[in-house]
Amino acid sequence: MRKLFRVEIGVFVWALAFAVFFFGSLSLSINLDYRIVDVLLANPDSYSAYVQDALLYLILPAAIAFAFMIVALAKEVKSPTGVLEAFWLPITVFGFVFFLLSLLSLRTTYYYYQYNVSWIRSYASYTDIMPLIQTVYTTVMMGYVVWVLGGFLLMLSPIFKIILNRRADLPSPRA
Amino acid sequence: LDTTNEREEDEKEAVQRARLFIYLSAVIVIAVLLYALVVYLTAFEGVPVGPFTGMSDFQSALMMKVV
Repeated sequence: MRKLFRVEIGVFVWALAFAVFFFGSLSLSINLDYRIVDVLLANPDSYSAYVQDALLYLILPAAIAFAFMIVALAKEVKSPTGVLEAFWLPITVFGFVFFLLSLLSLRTTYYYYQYNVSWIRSYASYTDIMPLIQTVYTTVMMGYVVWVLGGFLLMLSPIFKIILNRRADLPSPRA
Repeated sequence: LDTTNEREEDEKEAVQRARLFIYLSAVIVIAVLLYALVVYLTAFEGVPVGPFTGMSDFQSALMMKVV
């Protein structure tokens, strides 16, 4: 159990979460454009399917990987294995890829949210589905925010470690 | 001396394990991204579209390949 929470296994968990996120959220992100209005007008109960997909494919994998990585980084601070220094480049590149993709997805989702809300407001008879639209988009955007934060953590953790090491090597100003 | 040797062996083992997991992660991430790239490059064959087709076309093409 002590060897389970390591940085390298955390990176592996992030990679698995990324595969689940990519293929699992594919159908979700397609229907999040203007088609969601037609889907919800035809069947308002289908919003729960959107929320369920967002929780399963966006939030859950990222939350597991995020929690795993935080525990692994905390253990790495206590007993350093040198993984963050030795493999800083691949870890930073992974983090950057996750950060960039989720940021772009978040921007696209927010654009479609604004588009759909303005479209629904222009038709008074469609305002019934406004809370459903807000629920779906809020859940999905929260999922992307978790991915943005996770990518940011993964991208900067080796850089912070290297900066801390360099600072520890410097002589103390009081000495 | 034995303790030092054991510690060195443990460190070597840790580095090898770390390398294995980092490479496995790289394979997974690169495979997913390559899959997306290949689908993107082959999605619009014979379709007269411009360079700014938007994300939904790309995602629709991905969806058609996956499902």
